Amino acid sequence: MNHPFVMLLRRELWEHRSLWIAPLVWVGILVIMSTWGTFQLTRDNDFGEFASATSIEELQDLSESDRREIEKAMALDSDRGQTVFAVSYFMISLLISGFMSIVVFFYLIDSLFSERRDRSILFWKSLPVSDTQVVLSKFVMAMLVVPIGVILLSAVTQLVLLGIWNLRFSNSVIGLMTPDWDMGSWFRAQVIEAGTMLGGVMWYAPIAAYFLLLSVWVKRLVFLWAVIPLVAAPLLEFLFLRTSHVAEFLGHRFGGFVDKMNIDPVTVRIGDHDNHMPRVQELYDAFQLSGMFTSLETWVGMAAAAGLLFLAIRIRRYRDDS
Amino acid sequence: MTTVIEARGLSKNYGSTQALRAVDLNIQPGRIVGLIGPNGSGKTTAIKSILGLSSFEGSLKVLGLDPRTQRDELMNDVCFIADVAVLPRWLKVSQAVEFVAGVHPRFDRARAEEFLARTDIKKDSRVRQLSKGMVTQLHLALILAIDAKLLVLDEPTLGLDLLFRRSFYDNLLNDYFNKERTIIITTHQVEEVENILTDVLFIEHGKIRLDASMETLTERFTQLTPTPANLDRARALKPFWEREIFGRVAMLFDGRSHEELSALGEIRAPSVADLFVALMQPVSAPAAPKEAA
Repeated sequence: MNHPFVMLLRRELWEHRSLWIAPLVWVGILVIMSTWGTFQLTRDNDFGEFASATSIEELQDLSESDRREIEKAMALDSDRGQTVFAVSYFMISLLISGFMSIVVFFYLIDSLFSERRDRSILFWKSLPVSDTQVVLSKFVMAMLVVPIGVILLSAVTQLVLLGIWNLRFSNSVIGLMTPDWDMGSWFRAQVIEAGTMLGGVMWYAPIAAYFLLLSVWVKRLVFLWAVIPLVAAPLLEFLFLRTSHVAEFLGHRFGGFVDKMNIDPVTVRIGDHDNHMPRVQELYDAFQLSGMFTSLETWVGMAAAAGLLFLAIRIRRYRDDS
Repeated sequence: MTTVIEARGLSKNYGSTQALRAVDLNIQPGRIVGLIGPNGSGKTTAIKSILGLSSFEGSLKVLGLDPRTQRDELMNDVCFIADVAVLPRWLKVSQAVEFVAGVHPRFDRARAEEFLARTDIKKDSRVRQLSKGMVTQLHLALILAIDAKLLVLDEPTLGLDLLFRRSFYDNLLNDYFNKERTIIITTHQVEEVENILTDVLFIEHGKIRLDASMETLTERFTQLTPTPANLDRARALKPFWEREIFGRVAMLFDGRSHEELSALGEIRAPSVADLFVALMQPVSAPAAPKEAA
């Protein structure tokens, strides 16, 4: 596909290779660590005994209470057993998306600054590509392409880690405690992850647009410009006014995503239901995605993002960088 | 055919500094125009205005479009190589070709690849691995493959050795230029471009000092080396520049007939470089040259 906008997105992947190399390396580390943990850590401890025993009868040193717990786990109905899988899906997704949010932060503050730093901006401006297209390509890369990549990568990682787990434990007591894999449940988890990602993208859009604006506006030391005001403004407010409105605002803007998702904390507290695992359906239902999309704050944030992007486009268009 | 560049009262101030002072320009298609001036004369400001990279006052149309408001459209028909515009160091040669092919509707990929095949540039190399000359060759390969109506070259050969400079201009003339295309070149190395120019624009302190075609230049300006006996008679004809070289005096005249001057000594057409020096350093000039035509 050679549509100019697609080409602009490809350019981002050529220039900012960390966007695809970093997650692959990170997933590689996760898989290696997990594999190592699965095969090595379980060799020489109590857990190793479970891993090698093919039936509960082989576990001769087992205390009566442990035996009861294992039997309870083995008797767990599939609906509750799938919750273990679902939690691991979300953990894997969280590890990858959390890591990628750091990568995207550095990408955003560098994306419009690098063309000025290496003085290539006039080369890019010599081509029939509008400033709007350029700025939007960077925003779309950070807020659409990368999130889609994260969803796909975490789906693949989940399956790979699941495969490794199965290889190691399929013929063991641990395998017997684990319910069969349910593709429908896995697919539902992917849909929830995608919805959560969409909510996150919408919630963090103004922050991403703000970083892009800094990237096109600041003359040097963009990282410091991005970080210092966020730390200094609340500190100064507290020192001089003894209030914490800025800190509260920033805290809400950076961390309020979880509140807006309206996740039911009781349901997701695993094992708190009379020491029972919640049903996987209960876990999935705890994610009230609609709270994010119906919140006025989300849409005000989106409008702010549009305003900040407009400013970034204007600055790139009219700034004399030569 | 549409006038390529039409400027009326083009002005630009940087604070209290006037970079361009009510410049009027009229550049027709099929011309190779040398925009020549000393450092800080306003060359780059004029170029930036033409390319829509800088704000300005006055009226300016490039290919019938306003560079301030129609820049995106304009870039379909305009190419430029700016002296400060370097290709990004992380870019691979193959990526450069692919990118321009992807975003430029008038880019001929086969032509660019054909041009690159004539060089030592490898497709898999990154720009950071190429010499300065090779980077310019790559940039030129990209530019020459674009069917643009206006090409602007701002000090394109700065820092290149003589062989690369010569090859650059040869390629420009042989592979690119035709009667429908216009090229504007700014350079300090006047002597290297004067043979390919059809017009010259001398600019100084933001004002056009001379705007003339090469044919007019030959007709209008004459360099006279008078015999010692005719020195006073030659001076009486009011040369606008005079200089003593190896004991002989050279004078430049504006608008004097060849017949009149040849009676006083040896005459020849001055080079663009001579004219540039004479007009920009009028210290020794006994009489001011006539205003730009």
